[in-house]
Amino acid sequence: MIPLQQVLVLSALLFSLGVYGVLARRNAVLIIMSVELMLNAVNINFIAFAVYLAPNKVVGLVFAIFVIVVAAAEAGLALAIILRVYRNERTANVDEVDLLKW
Amino acid sequence: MLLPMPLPASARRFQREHPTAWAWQTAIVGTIVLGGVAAIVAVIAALKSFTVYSAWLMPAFCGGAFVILALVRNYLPRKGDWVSIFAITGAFTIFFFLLHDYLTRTSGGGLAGFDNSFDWLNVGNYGLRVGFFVDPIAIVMLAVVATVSLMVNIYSTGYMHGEARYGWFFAVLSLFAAAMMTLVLADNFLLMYVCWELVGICSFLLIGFYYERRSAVEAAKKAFVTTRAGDVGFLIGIILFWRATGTFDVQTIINAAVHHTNGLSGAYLTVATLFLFLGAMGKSAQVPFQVWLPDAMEGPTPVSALIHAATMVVAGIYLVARTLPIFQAAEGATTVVLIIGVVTALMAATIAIVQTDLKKVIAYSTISNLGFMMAALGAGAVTGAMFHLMTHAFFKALLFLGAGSVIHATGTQEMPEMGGLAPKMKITFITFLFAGLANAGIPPLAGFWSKDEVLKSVFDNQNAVYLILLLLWVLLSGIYTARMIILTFFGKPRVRHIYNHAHESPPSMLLPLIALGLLSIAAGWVAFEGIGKALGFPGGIGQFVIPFGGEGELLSINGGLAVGATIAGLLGFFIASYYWWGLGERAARVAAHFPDLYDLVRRKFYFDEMYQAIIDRVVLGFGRVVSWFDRQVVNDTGVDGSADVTGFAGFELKLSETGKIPNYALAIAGGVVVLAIIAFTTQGV
Amino acid sequence: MEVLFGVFAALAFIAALRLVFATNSVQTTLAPLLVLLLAGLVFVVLSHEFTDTISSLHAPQVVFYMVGGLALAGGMGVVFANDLVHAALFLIMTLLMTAGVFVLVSAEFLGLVQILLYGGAVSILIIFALMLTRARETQALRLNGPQWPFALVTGGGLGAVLILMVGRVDAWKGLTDTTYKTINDIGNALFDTYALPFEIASLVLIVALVGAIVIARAEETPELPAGQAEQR
Repeated sequence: MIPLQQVLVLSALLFSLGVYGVLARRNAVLIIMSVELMLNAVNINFIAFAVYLAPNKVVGLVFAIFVIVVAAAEAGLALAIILRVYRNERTANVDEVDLLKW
Repeated sequence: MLLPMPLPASARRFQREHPTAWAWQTAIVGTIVLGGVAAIVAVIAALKSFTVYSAWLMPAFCGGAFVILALVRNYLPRKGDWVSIFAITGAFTIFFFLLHDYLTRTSGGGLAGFDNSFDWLNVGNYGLRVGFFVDPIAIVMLAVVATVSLMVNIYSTGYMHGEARYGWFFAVLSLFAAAMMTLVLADNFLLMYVCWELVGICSFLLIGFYYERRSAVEAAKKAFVTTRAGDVGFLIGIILFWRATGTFDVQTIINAAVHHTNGLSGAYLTVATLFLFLGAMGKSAQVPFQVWLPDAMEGPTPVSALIHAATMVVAGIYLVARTLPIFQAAEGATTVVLIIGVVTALMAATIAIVQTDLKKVIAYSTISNLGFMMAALGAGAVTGAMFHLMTHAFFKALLFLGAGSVIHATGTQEMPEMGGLAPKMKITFITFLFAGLANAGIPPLAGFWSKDEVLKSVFDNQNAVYLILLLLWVLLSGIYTARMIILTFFGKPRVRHIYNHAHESPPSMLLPLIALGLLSIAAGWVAFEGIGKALGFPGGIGQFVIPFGGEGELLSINGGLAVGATIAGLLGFFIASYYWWGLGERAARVAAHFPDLYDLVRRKFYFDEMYQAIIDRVVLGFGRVVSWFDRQVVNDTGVDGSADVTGFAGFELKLSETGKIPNYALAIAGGVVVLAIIAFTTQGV
Repeated sequence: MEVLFGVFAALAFIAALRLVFATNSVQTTLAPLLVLLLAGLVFVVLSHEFTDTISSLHAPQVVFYMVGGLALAGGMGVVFANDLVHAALFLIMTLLMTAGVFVLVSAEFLGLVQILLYGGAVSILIIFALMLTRARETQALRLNGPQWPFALVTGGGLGAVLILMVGRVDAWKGLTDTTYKTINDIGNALFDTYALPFEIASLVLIVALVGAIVIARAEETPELPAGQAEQR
């Protein structure tokens, strides 16, 4: 009843917002949040395609579950890394951490 | 004490304080272990119904030992020398199964070669196969390699006892054995060349084993560079043959050359063959490449025996023997081989007469024998050459090991400092004497039969001049052999404290001496049909190693020739006794009488000086030009110029590398967007 | 079900607004909210541009607009809000609204999983992270980095490309969901066809958690026995 394109547009907008957040934000936790936003958009896409394009299969749904699992793992690890960085550098702002610099 | 078990401190003290008893233990336990290994390998081989197609197992054993020793030798008891001995014993045992299977397969007549090859790599529609090829020539060579390797390994446990890098020595010995066996078994030139270089590397490593000594480093470098000059020729030859036939397979190339197909004829064939011969000349120290071999005596004596007398240096002989049909098909090639061989033989034998270093005398003797073998091949006597190769390997290895025993006992290599050692080192003396007699070709020792075989074919096939020159060579051999024995073992002790210090060597060194001594006496008897048949061969060696497309021959002794050669040898002994018995005043008088001639021979015909001059003038002059070009054009403009450009660019561009992750993320995301836009506008999806 | 979700979404939105107004000044929160409403409008217009369904508004459709609009609004809050904790709350809103979207496209099970995992676990994880890094206390004046204009261009460009892409594919026009899979089907697939990936996923989770613990653990100072400590 809901057209597929509407769902896809929602997902595209959410994804773009996530990209903007990742690029613009300074705080590492905020960046992680934006990444979660992107993952969410991806999940919406998976489910939408699964339901609309392959209604007789469950592949897309199962894949969405795996995405959620990976996202949870990623969130846990990333937050642990942020914690470690914060403890070493006394900051969670990514532009103040430039260990990559020559 | 030989098995994996760390030595307790008390045992180490015992080892230090009672070296002789320690050596006895080594010998006894070692013998038991050798027997055990041989038995195990024999049972396994018998169960697996070993065939000639499994010949690769021999090098595989030794290669495995090298890997083990190269990685963990310092964690093994006794630095892992037993691993090397295990492996070479295994290979030695396998050899007999190989031989047995080969003889069984060929008992119906026809001594074919057996090839076991596999695809190595495929490039496009060009395939390269490598494999292992077993034929009588390879079998004779394998017998030499396996036997001498085993003897030298055992001997080294005594001779190298207490050296730093003891384990490394055995590791390289294993690698050498593996490479040498693969070289012998290789069915194509490419694999042969790889192993050719590999044995060269082993030779380099072992000559320079005492790399703390500057002379050893120089000698290693010299050997490496000199043989490399020949190896380049070998490589060019291989490429020329490949260009004509499109294959590296030895048998295919031989067939093409013999039938003059694939454009293998005329000048092309001759040039390619002579390039091939260049490799053989370098490895076998033929004139003008002979200069490296005497210097190679800087290595430990077991190395001299194994690599620089019995196996590696005869690789050149082996190469020519294996490809002799090509040489015979190429116009003029055999004549070149013959002349080079004869010149080498005579020159080296002459130099050997005036050397005072015991090992160098033997080294020149080796060169001269190699020249003799080359001459035999030039005369077309592949049987005689391989026969002499085998007997020579045994008695020359024995000479070296005996010399090593003497050096071990006296601590010097200079014969003028020795003298009168016979009663103090009875076993060494007796074995050395037999080896020397074999070297001089006195019947019924090994050297006599092979020498006779060669002389006979020269007599049958070639100009009488060569025969006379070779008889002269026999005389010279007798002289230097006798001089060496007299100066070392007879007469009065010339340096008292060395004489007092001298003692007989430990049993681990004496056992190989005795074994090789027996071989030096008896190895020549395989020329007889009866003995060959008793051993399971189709007959004497003349019926086993058959020239390409020829017939087996029975042993036939030309009475006059045999007597003449023997007389020449004995005459050499008498001349040497006359001039050097006692303190050698007579020889000194002769030298004083012909100072220029003496100087010429003593300075080795000025070959080293000549090369030095060539290097100084030509090579260094050319080098200066190249150096200028390299400095000014390549370095300052090319390398430094591009480096400056890169450095400047880097200096400017480093400002863009902020090290801040958001910037990099932005670049990535922006790139994705740009790509997406491009795709969107051009693809239209 | 749909109506329930709509009500729930509206409540959540109001709660979020109240929170925002209660803790921060009007100026700092009004601007994002304006943008948020604008975005909702843009979304509705864009949706109809491609589907021509403006005349056929019915209950699920209306609820979808509400839920989707709120999800977008939450997303904007995450990336535009000027307070860390507000951003986190906006994220929770988005996650829950996404669950609503799942329900609306008849993937109920995924909706429930979304609420349980994201709404529960992940958001709590993020709030813990905020707490542990003392985000509020050390919060910088600017939450955005200096490159935010470029980020805006990039994000906007990406969004434009994606939306144009969606409009271009003819095969997707006029598709509506009719059938849907039950929890039974998903369970069978997960433990039968996809048993191995499932197990691997569990392994990945375990490894990630162990890794997180190892990384986040405080530095261990080697403890010396009493005697040795005295000697120093």
